[in-house]
Amino acid sequence: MPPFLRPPGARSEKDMKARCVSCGLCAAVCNYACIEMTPDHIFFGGGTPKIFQRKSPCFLCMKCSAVCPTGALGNVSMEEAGMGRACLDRARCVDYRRNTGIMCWTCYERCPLKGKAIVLKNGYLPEVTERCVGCGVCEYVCPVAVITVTPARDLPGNRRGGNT
Amino acid sequence: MKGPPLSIRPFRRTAQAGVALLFAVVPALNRMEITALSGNFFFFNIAGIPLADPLSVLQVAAGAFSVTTAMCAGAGLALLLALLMGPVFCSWLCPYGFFSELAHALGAKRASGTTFSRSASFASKLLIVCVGLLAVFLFAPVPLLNQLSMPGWYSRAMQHAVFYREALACALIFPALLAAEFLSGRRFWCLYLCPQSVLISLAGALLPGRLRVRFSGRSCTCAKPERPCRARCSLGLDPRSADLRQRLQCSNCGDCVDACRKNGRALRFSFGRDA
Repeated sequence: MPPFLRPPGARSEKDMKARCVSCGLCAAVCNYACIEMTPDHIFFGGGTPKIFQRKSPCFLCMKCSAVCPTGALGNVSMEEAGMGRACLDRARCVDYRRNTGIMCWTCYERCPLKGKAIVLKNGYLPEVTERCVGCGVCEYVCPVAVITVTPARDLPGNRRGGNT
Repeated sequence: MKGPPLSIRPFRRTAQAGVALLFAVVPALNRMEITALSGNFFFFNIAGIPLADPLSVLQVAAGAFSVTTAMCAGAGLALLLALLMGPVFCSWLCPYGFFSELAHALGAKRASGTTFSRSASFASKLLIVCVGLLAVFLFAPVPLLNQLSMPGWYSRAMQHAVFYREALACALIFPALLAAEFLSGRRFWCLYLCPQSVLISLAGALLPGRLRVRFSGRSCTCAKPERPCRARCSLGLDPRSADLRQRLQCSNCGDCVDACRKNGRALRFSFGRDA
């Protein structure tokens, strides 16, 4: 299965699976059709909501978490989405490489939390801050594919995201 | 004296087909950004009014030890319908029941003499629910029994087809069971296995004054061996019996009332206590 995130406001993996009844209300309200209720297993279809960020990321409209009737997705604000954390590979980012003549900033421009989750260090170098909620938009738009979002379920404790 | 009562079955078939169609249309409406109706047979939202499968709510309670107000209200409304009208969900709304009845009608000619087995009746369904809930509570906190919901698979397959333009492989259990019922000539899923019907059947047998089929022996004109009402019941129940296990299985479809319509009209639907 390709890498995927849980929708904004999702509880811990175990708690979310215990609550989700696969009603699909979150997928039905999603403006961007990014939430997929695909089965967790080929023979035993749990059908919990997934966001395949490389196919279609979450733009943090927060409609899904507001409609979830079971509380599998908590009704939270954009800043509390808690889907994961983006990691930007500076060594390969065109903004960090010298003499490229490119001022990309695509991740910064497209970030739903522009200026909070991704800031411009020294006014021109994109940097992921600890306020990143892991919506996956930067991973989706990055023209050189140097951003990877680690889903919240794979983040140990409260590890701060950031830049390598 | 009023004229002969209307036949119930055309109304019921319209309701069944309407619900089956509704759950195919709702995902398409959702994609057109109309979300006043949304969801499936586990949870359905009608312009803010929740409806939920009581068993899935019970499983969330057993697995997560907490349920939301929306879930409780949804399950409450579904159970209230059963309390007042009996388990009409099974015979008037459930798409599996609809297709199962059609398969039974087509296959019935080949398998004659389908009678109700007293030994394995409601108890096997109750056992599945108890084992499932215990498994959710002890080992696997996920709504396991939702995997056995045939209306659930029907509506999820429709959502899948419309939202992602692909078939849902697991939903093949739905036609597979229909084929098995067609070949065996017995509606064994609804009778012995369906866990979703247990809670609504129990709620639907609770109040003596609920809507149900009443039998008045004085009006019955059929000779003993000839029982058109019994022959008509797709679940193989005896509508004249007062046996509790048979009462639990009756889903108020009204086929026996229709069969009795041209005879003594000894079987009728009514609310209130027995006369």
